[in-house]
Amino acid sequence: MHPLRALLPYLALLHRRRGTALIGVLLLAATVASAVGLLGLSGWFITATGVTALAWAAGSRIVFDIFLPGAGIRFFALSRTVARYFERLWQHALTLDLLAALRTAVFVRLAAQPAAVLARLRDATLLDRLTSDVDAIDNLPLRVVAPLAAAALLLPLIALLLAWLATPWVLLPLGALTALTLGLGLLALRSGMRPGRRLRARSEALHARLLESLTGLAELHHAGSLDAHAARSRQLDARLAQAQRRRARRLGALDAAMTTAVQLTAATALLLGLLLLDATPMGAAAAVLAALALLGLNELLPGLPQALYQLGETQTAAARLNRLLEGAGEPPDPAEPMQEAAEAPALQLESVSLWHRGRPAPALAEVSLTLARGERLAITGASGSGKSSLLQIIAGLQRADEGRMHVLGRPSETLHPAQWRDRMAVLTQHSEIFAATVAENLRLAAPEAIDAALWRALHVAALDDVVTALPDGLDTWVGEAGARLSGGQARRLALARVLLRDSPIVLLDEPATGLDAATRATVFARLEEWLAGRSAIFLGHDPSVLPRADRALRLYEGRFRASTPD
Amino acid sequence: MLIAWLVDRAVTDGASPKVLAPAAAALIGVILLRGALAYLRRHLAAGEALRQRHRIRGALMQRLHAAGPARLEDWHSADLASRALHAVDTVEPYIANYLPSRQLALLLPLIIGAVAALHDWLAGLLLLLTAPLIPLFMALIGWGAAALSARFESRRAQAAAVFADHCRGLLSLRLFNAENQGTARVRGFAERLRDDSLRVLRVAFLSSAVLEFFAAVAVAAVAIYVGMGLLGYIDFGPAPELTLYSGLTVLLLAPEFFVPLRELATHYHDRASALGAAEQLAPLFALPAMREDATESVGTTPGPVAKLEGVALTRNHGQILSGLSLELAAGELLLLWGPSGCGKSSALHVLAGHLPPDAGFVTVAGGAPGRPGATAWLGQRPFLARGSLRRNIALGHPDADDAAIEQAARLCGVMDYAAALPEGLDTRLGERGLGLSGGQAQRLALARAWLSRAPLLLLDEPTAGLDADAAAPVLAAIQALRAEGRALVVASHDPQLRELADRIVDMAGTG
Repeated sequence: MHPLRALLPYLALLHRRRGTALIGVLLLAATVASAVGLLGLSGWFITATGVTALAWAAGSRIVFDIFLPGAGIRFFALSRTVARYFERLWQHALTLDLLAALRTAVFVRLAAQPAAVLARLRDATLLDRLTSDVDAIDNLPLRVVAPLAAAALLLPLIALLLAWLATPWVLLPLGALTALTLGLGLLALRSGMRPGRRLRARSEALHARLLESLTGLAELHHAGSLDAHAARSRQLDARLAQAQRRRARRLGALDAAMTTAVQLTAATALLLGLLLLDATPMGAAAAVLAALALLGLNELLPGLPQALYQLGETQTAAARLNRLLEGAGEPPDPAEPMQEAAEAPALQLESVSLWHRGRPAPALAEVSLTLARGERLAITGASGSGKSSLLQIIAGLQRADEGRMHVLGRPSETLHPAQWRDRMAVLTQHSEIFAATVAENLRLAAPEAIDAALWRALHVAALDDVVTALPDGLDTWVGEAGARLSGGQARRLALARVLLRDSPIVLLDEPATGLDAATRATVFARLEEWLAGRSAIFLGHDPSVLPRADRALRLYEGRFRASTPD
Repeated sequence: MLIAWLVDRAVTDGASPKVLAPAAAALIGVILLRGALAYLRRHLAAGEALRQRHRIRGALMQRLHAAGPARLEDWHSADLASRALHAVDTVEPYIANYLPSRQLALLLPLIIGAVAALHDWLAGLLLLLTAPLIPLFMALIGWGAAALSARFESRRAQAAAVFADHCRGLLSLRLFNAENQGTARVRGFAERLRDDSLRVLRVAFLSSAVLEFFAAVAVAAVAIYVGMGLLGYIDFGPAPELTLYSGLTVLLLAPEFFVPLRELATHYHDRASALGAAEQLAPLFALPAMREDATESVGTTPGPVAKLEGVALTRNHGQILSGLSLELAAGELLLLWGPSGCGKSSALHVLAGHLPPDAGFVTVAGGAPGRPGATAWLGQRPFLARGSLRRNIALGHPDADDAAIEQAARLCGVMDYAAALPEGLDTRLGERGLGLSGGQAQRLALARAWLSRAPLLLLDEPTAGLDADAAAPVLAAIQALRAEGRALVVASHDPQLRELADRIVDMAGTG
């Protein structure tokens, strides 16, 4: 498969806006055409007047109309300004519109990926890669497609016009220029692939290294390894700069080559015109017209091979993004509503097993458990004991490799995971607070909730006093670029969010992380009331950090051990 | 150097219609020279910009490293890394494109105008009359771009943050079946960015349109003036003396007069993003450093390994240590006991030299705290570097040989799990070491600490989140280190550690 095919999904976004894009191309063409016309006509006008003046001096009385060219020059001066203004505005509008569409499209496809892919996005390096890949794609149309289309539109027109006005011989240098542009463009496209990949790889290596030195700062500092580590970072930075210097050199060479080529074309056209047309009185004027008109192409052509060279980086980004998004994803939402069996237990797991790829031992080995209606079950275990895997299966984030599961009496294989997730309130170990207001963060769990409900949930999580003290209360922006909550406060906000769900089954994984003993006691006491009538599973490393439960199980290496009543 | 091409170009381009053969050769020569010089300019500018960027990134990282882990706790390390990479990257186009074009925009129009005036002083005057307009243009551009930078950059940053943030939290969204809400927010922010930006751009582009307009009108006016002059319709000033040569020269110079200004306008957004980045970086460069006097070597001095006398410390959320005194001898395990938020971690930071106390004295191994080799640090979440288990242990002492690394691994229980791995100690850890359980990672960190030979070990909640089975080998490793004569300070509220401790400082009362 040709590597450039990776760009197809993103070009499709542009294709959907082809009307808008076409207007952008026409505006660009009009801008360049105006520049060409302005320079060409002005040159012709001056030369023609010069020639006429000489003729007058020689006694001839030929008629020269100065008003029509004068009007033409003024027209082009105005049309260039206007076309350029609207062209810039139009292209920016298109780019920003495409960026919105691209982000949305990527997000929608990402949202359909399996949980394992989503979990990987918590890794800072991978997330940074994803966002910079999206950024690398967003300027594709403006930089490549529009000038390419405008050039394809304008070059034949200019060629025909000049051949008619000046001499068909102009086609010779113009043809050579077109061929050179195409050749250089193709060369740039081919030779830009590898450097583009290298550049991205080096940038990522540097990011990973910088991140490592910051997360491990204390350890590296005390071990005396910090200087060596920083030296290696600088080395990676220098290697990145080296690749970028090489790119700047190539781009500079392409730019210089193209600008020189355009000027040489103009010069050749001028010389050709003077040689061939000097016989006729207006020949020189036409030659100057051709030359200056061709100089006007400097507004368009030099950027083309450069844009094609940088397509290598865009291609790398697109290919990687495609790989991340290629997973089959979840099936579409079901049409049929889920029917509960009223009498059945809340949850039933029969011999559920799960293997993680590349691990010899199963993460869960034939786990069976029944959660009766209204029952509260505590499951304890060390990290790595299979707690998180169990939670993922119950929450429908992952399918078990073996075994059966019933949710509220319905066999899980007849249901869409989204259906039983609707009946669950789940707090995982990492529950993100989003860059949004407190209220928006809470309403993720219950879009229709009124403010009073939000305050009730915050009260249970012992966070109402904190939110009251925030500058804008519920409307305070938190998360990235917002008021920073402490670890314990963020955890309680995540808990409050879960409490907004009115669901019969509750899963809480390490609900008290980052909470001191006093706050923990308050929250657990208030939880009692909320939990009434619901079936709940609490997961944690130790029973002391979990709310009171009816029954306790211990998970060890993917199996339940006989529970030890404390 | 740029001046050279312009002047040369002006002379030869104008001369070319007159004298054919040698002039044609000269013209081609000058075109080639211009190309070469333009290339050189870009090359040099890029080189310089990348050098500056390297220097700034180095300085930033040095500053962050010097600030120490305690002061960086207010930021996410992922946020810091992304600033150090992407924010610093914006320096490059600023230096490579914007700065040179600003210089040229001031200098070149004057020179070109002067050359034009040599050929026809009235046309030159026409151009130079616009010269006082240049500051006005610059102000216009500046005004448009200032609005653009302020609104556009902050909107763009916000939209990008929302996108990244919702991608990171997609799993949380799925648990609420709220992926569509996430999509709506991502789309909403991107579309708001589009609409808001366009409102700003409509005005901002006007300023450069005015510039364009002047450029186009100047070319048109010069063309018509020269044409009329040649025909003899204008009989004042220098017009009657105009020749085709001088007229054409002036015409060709007219657009060049405005080129530097237009270039400046197109590079203005480089300045805007560099300024935005500078705002992000300024608070990081303002961070104070940890202690500087880290020169004296760590010897085996008699006396206590660590000593605190009347230490008081205030951090942004109030006073957390007051009058803390303690003393620790080799082979002792001291437990800092108390609920979270009572200052346990801050006391460890003071012992590690990450935070200078507001009052009181700290001595570690007979000198200032924080000297490399004096202390080993074991954070609450053990730091796992990319690479093998072996590399992770070796971070404790970069020059250690394989035998020492293996001994550390055996002593601290790393071998218990590493031996079962197909590649043993050479097994690579996944991204962020996801392959290790909490207890296994703690043992790895203890092996690293053993290898470092530091007399004082500082441990923050080494058994947090571990059940009894997982905690047992960690506690055994702690005991092994103590038996070697290392002094340990452990912050914890784990009763198991309470049983091991020689002494317990109840922090609940000190804050």
